[in-house]
Amino acid sequence: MNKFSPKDHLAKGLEDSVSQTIKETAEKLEEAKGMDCCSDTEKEPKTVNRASMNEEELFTFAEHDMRESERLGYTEYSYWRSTFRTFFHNKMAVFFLVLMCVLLLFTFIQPLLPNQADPNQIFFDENGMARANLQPSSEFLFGTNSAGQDLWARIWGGTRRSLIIGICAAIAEVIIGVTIGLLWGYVRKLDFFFTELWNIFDNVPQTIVLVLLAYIMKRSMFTLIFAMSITGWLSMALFIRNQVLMIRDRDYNLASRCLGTPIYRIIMKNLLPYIVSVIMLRMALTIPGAIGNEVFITYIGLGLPPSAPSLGNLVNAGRALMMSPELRYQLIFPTIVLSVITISFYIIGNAFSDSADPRNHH
Amino acid sequence: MKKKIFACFMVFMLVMSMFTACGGSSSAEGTTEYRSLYSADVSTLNYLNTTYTADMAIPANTEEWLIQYDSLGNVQPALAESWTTSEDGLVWTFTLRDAKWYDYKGEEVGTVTAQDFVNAAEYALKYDVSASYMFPAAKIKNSWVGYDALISGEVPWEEVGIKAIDEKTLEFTLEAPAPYFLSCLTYGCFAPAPTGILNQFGDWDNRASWTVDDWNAFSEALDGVSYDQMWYCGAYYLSEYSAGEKYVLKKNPNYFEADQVYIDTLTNIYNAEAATLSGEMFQRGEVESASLSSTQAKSWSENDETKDLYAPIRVLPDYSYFWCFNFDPQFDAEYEPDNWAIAVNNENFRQSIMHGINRIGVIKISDELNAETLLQNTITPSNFVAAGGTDYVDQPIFSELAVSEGPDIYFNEDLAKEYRDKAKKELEAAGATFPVKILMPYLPSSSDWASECTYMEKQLEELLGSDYIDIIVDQGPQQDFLSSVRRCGNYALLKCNYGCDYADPLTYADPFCEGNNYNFMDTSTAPETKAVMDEYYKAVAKADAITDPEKTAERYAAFAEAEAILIEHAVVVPLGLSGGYQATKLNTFEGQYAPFGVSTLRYKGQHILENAMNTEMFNSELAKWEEARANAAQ
Amino acid sequence: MGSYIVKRVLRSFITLFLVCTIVFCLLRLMPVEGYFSNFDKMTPEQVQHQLEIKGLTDPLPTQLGRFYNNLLHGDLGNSSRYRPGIAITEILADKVPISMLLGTISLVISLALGLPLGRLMTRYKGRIPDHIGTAFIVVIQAVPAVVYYLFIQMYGTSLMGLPLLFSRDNLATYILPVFSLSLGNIAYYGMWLRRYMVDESNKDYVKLAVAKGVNSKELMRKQIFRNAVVPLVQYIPTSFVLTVVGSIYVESLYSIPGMGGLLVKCIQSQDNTIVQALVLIYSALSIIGLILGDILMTFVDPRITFGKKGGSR
Repeated sequence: MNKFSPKDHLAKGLEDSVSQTIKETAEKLEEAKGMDCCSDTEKEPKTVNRASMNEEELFTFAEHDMRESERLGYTEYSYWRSTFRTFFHNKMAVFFLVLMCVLLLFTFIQPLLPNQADPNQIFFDENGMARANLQPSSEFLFGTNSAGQDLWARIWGGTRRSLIIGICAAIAEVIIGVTIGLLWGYVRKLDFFFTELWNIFDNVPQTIVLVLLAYIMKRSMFTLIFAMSITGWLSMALFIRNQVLMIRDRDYNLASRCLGTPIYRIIMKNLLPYIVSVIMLRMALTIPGAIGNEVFITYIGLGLPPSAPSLGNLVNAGRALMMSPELRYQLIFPTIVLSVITISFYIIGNAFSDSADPRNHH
Repeated sequence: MKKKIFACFMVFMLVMSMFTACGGSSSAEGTTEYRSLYSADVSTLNYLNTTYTADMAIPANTEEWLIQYDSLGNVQPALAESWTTSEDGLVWTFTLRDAKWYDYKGEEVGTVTAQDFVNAAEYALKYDVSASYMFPAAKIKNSWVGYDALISGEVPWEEVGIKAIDEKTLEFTLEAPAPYFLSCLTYGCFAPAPTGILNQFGDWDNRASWTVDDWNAFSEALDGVSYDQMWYCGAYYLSEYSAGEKYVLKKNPNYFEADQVYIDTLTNIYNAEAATLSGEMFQRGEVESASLSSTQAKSWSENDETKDLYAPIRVLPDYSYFWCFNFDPQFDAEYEPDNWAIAVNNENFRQSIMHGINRIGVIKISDELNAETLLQNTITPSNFVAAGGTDYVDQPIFSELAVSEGPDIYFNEDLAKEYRDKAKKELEAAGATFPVKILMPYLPSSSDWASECTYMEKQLEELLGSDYIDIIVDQGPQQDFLSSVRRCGNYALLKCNYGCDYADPLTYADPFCEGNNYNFMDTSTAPETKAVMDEYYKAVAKADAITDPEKTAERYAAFAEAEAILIEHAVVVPLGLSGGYQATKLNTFEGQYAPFGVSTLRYKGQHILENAMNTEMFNSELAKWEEARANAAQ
Repeated sequence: MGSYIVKRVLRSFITLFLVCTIVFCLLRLMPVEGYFSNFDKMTPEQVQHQLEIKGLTDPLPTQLGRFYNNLLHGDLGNSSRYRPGIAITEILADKVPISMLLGTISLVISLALGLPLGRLMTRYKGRIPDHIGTAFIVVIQAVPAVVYYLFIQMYGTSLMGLPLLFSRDNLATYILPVFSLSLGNIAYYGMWLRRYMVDESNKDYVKLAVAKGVNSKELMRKQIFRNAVVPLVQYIPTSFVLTVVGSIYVESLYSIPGMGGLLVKCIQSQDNTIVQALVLIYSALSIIGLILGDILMTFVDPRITFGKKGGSR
């Protein structure tokens, strides 16, 4: 069912374009070598700052240095170094990268900090009443929820849980997706089989799988991760397959085959390095996708129980209080955290896809 | 480009403003309309074959039953003008009034006859609708034989205790006297089903020769009955119905008590998000009622604009909550079922838990403002039945159980510790290990339930010591919760509930009957427990044998005695009722009152108020109602 | 192209058959409790009898055979739990038109606003309109739709003086739901058009055209836009289908009696027949959407032809 959300399509589309870029990357890699400066898609063209030179400097002859000119003719081009250099030129992306690192770090060390409440701990006053719906204060930074639990602790606990779900789903997706995708793309005989398999899996609604899993297993993080990866590997596999199809019949692979290199070696040494960057990028995009998916799953009533806070059930619990203005903080705080994480992943992913394109390398 | 986008934007705005211009609300002047939202979809109009409250909301208002309840909970004639009982209490004869059937336009289409009621019963028993258990519950003769015996003719239909003597006379024959018989009559499957409709969905006149498959096909067709095929004999007729969208009920001016119907039109709109939206819609005046969560209610109470717009909902004794100790533990070995079996059969152990739970604290988790009203000290709740001017729960035998002052008469920390010390010694002697693991499952979708369990874990372990008990709060499965937790004994201590079926304390003894799937207390082999069970079952049998309608007070007293056994020996720990809050322009105390059947779903007798009911008004109306009820009972 | 499409449709039938069979088998694993509203008060015999009536106690192959037999006779069956006794076709006939109507309006709006947004962002790349557009897209992507739909509904209706809920007769109440439905797609089209156009404008033919001194507006409109819009066109049918069948949030917020979330509802109420029918229909729709997308693409871009390179997408 998650495929019905337009947002996922945004993500999917993004990945498609990334694949586009990477495809071109592969083609341009060779051309890029030796090219001094190529056309720019996202960056400002390189300009020499002439305004800062004084008149004398402007009208002096440039000295001819043999060494320099030799260096110009030969570039020490390293794809990865250029990729990272380009990436770090993007201030916005760096900002979000730092923000996300801080956020991630904080999320995971938060429980170790002093004076942190347990996400499920209910606070009672001296009369044995739950201290529910307290506004944000110095004691409860984000206030308390309607059960009297510390929203601060719950949000970070929820973020941790959601991130773990996202990361695990992404890893599972990569492992299954890459394996199947490589086989699918490389072994021609399996193409029909995998294509049909893909069609079938793609059309079985995720909700059915989820309801059944909820019945067979307990509602837990593992169930969610399992349900997400059981359907999530599809797009990854298809994507890898298309990449492989493009690269498979390049001359050097043909040569390898002629020389009798075993398939697994061709796959590992010739194909995988080409698509590693894509895989990493896809992982980065799967994480916010999985978090969004969890919100949807919680919305249809199949998410995690309140005793296991996650961004999905925090947002949905907050939604019920949307119409009470003074309680809206219970919706806004988890939404902000969720949005910041999602934005960071998207922006970083985007910037990375740009910098992975050698045309953007200087 | 800028211009173009600007143009696009302007076109968009223009289209929008055109839409706006077309809008406008239509409400006829001089009539009263009551609008509300419903979030549980109506699935069928076939009131004979449904048990959903959502499905009954329409027929409760569009159909009529033999009897009805007045606002104080007394039986009043409805379609039956009068009735008589035979001396032995086995034969009930109803004389019908001259009532008519109407269609969705409010036009007369037929007359209500005694056969209509027999039709309904025949369909319900032969197809075996899920609510067919109501017939044996009412002790109607031969209603328990099962659909196959009835269809095959093993038991001819004529031998079932429901007959149309003539067009206006209906006769019920019972297996054994049931003093509460009348109160069974307001369920869906006791409503009349006109032959005229049934014939549209199958060859009803030849039903004697139908096989099981014929009945199934007929029922499937009948479930799909549309609102314009349906006949109505109640206060309203269904003039508009669009599944999953909305329905409109219009007052039937020809209804025999039309002068008691004060709202002309009832409009109900389906909205899956009603819980989130209805409060806001009420404030904007788009609906006349909205249910509020306790959190929302608290937020409304703190705001000057909204604090007079809401009131608690009327607490109905329809579902009673209580904790069950499991006497037949079937859970995983890691939770030590054998150890639990030893512990649960020790009365002092059970007592220490029962007197240790701060029940008010538990209820406050879900409803902070109203906890004391919801708390019940008996399994049968208050305001359920009364005899001789005394409410069932006000009988002296229950107040004798009190060990503490204040609303919660069982919570006594010192006593609980005393019992703990006794239990510790006895259990050690019996070979139990400490701490005793107590598995407490909850339904994952209920956040309050989870919090309650967490609260109890903290509260009990702090009070009794975590070296004595170790409460394990466990998240049950979302699907199949009842089957995989309660019914198969996969718990140690569980919050259960039971919904009453008819106006007699016997209904609340049902979950503890022999062979029950609540606490399996009859399966215990421990002599101590067995003795208690024998005593209890004897007391219930003795109480149920008192069937003389003149001796109702005696019957209730006997049931109270039985129930007191369960509580006294801490077999079951009563908890209370469920409540809630709402914003409404109705005075619910004007409406029909009965905790079972369809009465509380009906709008008959209720006025639309000028302003929303507020808490103050609710309390004064409640006091007035309680007074009137007490007066009427004497 | 004709034979290619025929081949593809035939292959889709195999897929549909397998999907239906799998879903059918999965549904038989559902818990029994979910089939009854008052499971608590039913006797085990009664439960058994009701399961027999629903045909759930037969062996799986028999049930499957019955399902396909009915399907071949054009009978999708009757709903059993969601609206007992009502034909599925009838249920859909009520719901499809309204969803189609809203979906169509929303598609028009998303294209009418999304494409200009993308062009505007390309034109002012790296300047304020681009940044605003990017911010909009990022926000739409990042904030959960469940949350911002609710904000739109609440503040939108009070600002415009509209009722909170949708009503068929009051055209004004169409605005906010349609607008909410479009937001995601506007962002989608805007973002992609920008990216494709930026990519396109770096191509050699564009450089040549610029060097030749072709009017940049003309170039943008006639060359770059036309080339960039091709992959988007392919997505239009699918996005339309998704909007029609997947608008669960918007439809439940505004009480729109459409088919968004119908599948979820029916799975939750364990109405097997209707779930099967819906899965069949949705799978067919998604396959048709993909084929239509490909066909549309050949119209927009004459360079694309089917035939040589077969195979699904």
